[in-house]
Amino acid sequence: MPNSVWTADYLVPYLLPRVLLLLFSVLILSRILVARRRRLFIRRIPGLTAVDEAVGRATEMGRPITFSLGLGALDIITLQALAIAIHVIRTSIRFGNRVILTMADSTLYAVADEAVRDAYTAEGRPESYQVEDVRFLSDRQFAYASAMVGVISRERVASNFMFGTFYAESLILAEAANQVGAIQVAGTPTTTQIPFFIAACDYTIIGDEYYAATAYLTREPVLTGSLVGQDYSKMILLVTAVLGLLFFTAWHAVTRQPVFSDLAHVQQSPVKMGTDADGKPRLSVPQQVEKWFKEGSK
Amino acid sequence: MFNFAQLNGGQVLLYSAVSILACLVILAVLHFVPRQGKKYLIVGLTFLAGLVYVVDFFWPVMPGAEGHWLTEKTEIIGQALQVIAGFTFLLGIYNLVHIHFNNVRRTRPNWGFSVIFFVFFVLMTVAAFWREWYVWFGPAAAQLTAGHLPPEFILDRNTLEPGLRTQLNLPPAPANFDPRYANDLYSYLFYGLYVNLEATMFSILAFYIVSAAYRAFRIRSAEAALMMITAIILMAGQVPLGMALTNAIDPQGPMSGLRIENFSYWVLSVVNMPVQRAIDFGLGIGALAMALRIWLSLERGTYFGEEA
Repeated sequence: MPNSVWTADYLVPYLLPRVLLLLFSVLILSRILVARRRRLFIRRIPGLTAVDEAVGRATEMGRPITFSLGLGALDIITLQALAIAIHVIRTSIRFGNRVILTMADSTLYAVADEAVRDAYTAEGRPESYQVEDVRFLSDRQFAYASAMVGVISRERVASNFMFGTFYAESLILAEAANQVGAIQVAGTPTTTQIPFFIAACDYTIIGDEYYAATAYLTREPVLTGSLVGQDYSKMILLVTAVLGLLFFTAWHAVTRQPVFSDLAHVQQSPVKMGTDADGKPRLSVPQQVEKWFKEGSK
Repeated sequence: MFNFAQLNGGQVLLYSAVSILACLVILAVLHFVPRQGKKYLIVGLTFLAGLVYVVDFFWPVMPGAEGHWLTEKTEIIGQALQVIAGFTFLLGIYNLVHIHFNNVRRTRPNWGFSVIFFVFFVLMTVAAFWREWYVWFGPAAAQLTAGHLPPEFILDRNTLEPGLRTQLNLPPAPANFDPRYANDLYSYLFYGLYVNLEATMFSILAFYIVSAAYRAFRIRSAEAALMMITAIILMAGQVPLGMALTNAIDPQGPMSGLRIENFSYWVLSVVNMPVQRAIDFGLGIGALAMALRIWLSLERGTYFGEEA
């Protein structure tokens, strides 16, 4: 192996993420082993406690529940959403209620259909399974949204769950369910859509609560152990970030270098203090209006 | 590797038939495997498929190199998912047809929409398949003539590739030609109808944002008040009327950071950004844990029945 491999340019961006990933994986797996021997504590998450409340409300009202798996394909995010959906479906089966599960990916449909069938069998009610309760609507974003809005409106659902990958259609779905008076629980790792869900839904699962959901709902040792392992990993990241900040500040204090000289990307931000995009000083509004009039008159 | 452009219609049909037959044989064999055997098969295949990506990620890439011995093979393995997706697409279509057929058969409320679904499903399928039919079932590309092309109302000749147009002795397309305005059935249905319907759905979002924001900004707690104040600062920082509020502050002076446009930028980049990153870190580690559980088949209940 040539000596040039062992330079900081190679080691830091290439090896460090891999070492951290290995460390986190070992931590998560070790916690899973611990959880198989003793019960681990999970704090209360209001959004997830509301899952049973939403199912109960739908049962009392005698109206169905909709569960949207979003636009995601067969990936980690959507598989987690499906795991939550199966919990909701199993709870609903016990109460004799109906859950309409919708998705925008046909590959996912095949898996979801099988998982829902298994859920009905596991609850001892295989005859209650209906093919029409697992629906592939469309693989196009707004075709899926309009079909889902149609399902929500026609069925006048009592509860609406939205878990998975969502984009601009998130608010359309949430507002449609709000219009029929449905209680809504939503969760997505798509951070740009979280504000829309917070604004429109009764309960929103934020950030890594999304991946904590199945552990919280089922309390299975493998899942709770994995959750505790995630928390340890986050602690390591937090300590690394704080140490990095302290080291960065101390280094610049000792070497007497200006702190922000290294942060060139901050200087290149689109909006600079008191200047417009061309780097010229910003005009006041009256000055701007005057400029428009002058340019218009030319 | 197959080059479909060099195959004629008969060869494409033969390859397709052999592939489908092979898949059916594999499916039939799997059908007779006992349930426990199927479980071990799934666990083994999941582990092997995941192992490829794990080795691909951890195997060292020398400085300056694009990849290692496994990089190219990983891409080929990834294409298997597209093949599976092709099969499952039929399942999706079956599900749609089943639901809408029952709506019509039982004349459920709004069954007319299901009739519209069937009309456009058939129209779109015919328009798209007929348009491409000569590519898959015509002669090899080198022997293609204008006589093999579908009628003009199915395939606007202006949409053909320049090389193919020369080969078929067709006049060049107009310089300002846009495929969205092609004069054939597919373009009418897709660009003329569907894309506009999609834009209509998207535009509804503007009204929903207002109604959702109205509900969210009702001050019911300290957190809601903080959110509303922050939102007002950010919105004011984006519009001239908001910027006019702090025009008195010199843009070049020491207090320029208090100008509303600068302050809102500070809120976004200094206050908001670390929170976003913290959420992303949590999500990343959550995804890692989920991936580990699926790779090692540790998930119970959801995908493997009650017992893992």
